[in-house]
Amino acid sequence: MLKEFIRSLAQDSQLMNLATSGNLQMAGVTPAEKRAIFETLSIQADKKDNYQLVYWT
Amino acid sequence: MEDCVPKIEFEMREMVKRHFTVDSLIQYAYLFLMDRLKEQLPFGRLTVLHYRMFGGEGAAVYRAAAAVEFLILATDIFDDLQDQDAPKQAWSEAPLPIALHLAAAFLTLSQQAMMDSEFDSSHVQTTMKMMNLQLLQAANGQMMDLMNVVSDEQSYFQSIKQKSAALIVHACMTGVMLTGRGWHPIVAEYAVEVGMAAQIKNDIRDLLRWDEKNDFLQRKKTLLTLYMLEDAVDQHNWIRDYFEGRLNEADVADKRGLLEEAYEKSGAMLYGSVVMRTHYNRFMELLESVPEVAVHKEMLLSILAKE
Repeated sequence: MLKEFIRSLAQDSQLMNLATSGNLQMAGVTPAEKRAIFETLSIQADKKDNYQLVYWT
Repeated sequence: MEDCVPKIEFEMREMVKRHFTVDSLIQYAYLFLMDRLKEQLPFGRLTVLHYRMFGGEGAAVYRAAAAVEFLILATDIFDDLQDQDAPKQAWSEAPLPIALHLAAAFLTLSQQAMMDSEFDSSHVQTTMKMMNLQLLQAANGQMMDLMNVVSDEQSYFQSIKQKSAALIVHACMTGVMLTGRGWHPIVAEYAVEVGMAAQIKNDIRDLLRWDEKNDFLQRKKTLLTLYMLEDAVDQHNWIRDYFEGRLNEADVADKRGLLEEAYEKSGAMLYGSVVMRTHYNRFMELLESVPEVAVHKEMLLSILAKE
C-alpha cells in the first residue's frame, strides 16, 4: 500500500502539498510509514523544492 | 568511549606480525590495512562499544575487535573483486591471485585473533559460533547478489538482510557475547534494522552515480530499480527495455539526466527514502528499549553515521 500511496503522491502535486503540510489522510499506510513519509517530506521541503536524496545520518 | 581505533589497529598489526612470516605477505597485508584504516574501523568500534555498554572491562576486547575487522576486510575484498566496482582500492590494484590470497589469509587471521584472545574459552567458543553463522548468512546474501536473483521486494529485503545486516549483527553481538551474555535478540534486531537502512541508503546513492557502481547500468534489482520496473508510465518503458536486454549500454549512455528525472517524478527516490527511514526509526525505537544501550546512544550513532 505504501508504494501505491507514494505513486499517487508523485502524480499529484496538490496531494503532495497536503502530505508535506501533514494535512493528508493516508489510508492503508501504517503509522510507522506515515511518520517516515512526513519526516522525509519535511526534510526535503526544508532543503529544496523537488525530491532529493535524504540521508538518515 | 576512548579512541579505540589506534588500539584495534595495533592488534591488527600485531596479528600480521605474529602470523605472517613471508615479507611480501606482510607488505601486502599492511598495504591493505592502510586502505582499511581510512574508514576508521567502524565494525571494530561497534564491537568495543557493545562490550563496554554491557559491562565488559579491560583491553582484551581490542583483539576481538581486530578479529571482527579482519573478517570484514576479507569479505570486502572478495566483494570488490567479484563486483569489480572498486578500482581504486589497494586490493583491486594488486594482482588478482595476491588479492584473493590475502582475503583468505585475513579470514583465517580473524579466527586466530579470536582464539588468541584472553577471554574465557567458553565465551570465545560461543562467540565464534555466532560469528560463523552470521558470515554464512552473509555468504547466502552475497550469492543472491552475484546471481542477480532478486526478483521482487521480498527477495530484495531477504538479500540485504543477509548480505549487509548480518555483518553489523556480527560486530555488535561479538561485543555483547564476550561479556558472557548470550545472544541479545533486541541488539540483533536493531543491528538488522540499521543494516537494512544503510544498505538502502547505499542503493539510493549508487543509483545517482554514473559509473561501474551504478545499479541501473549493471541491471541490478534494488528497491528503487524494482519500483521503476513496475512503473506503468509509457515514457519510462526504455528503462524496462534496458533491464530486459532490448537496449544495450550504448543506447542509454546519454540518458543519465532522463533517468534521474524518472526516479524523481515517479516517486522512486521518495519511496526509497521513506522505506529507509522506516527502518531507521525502528532501529531508534529498539535502541531506546535497551537501557544499557540507550544511555550510550550518541556514541553508537556517531559510529553508524560514518558507515
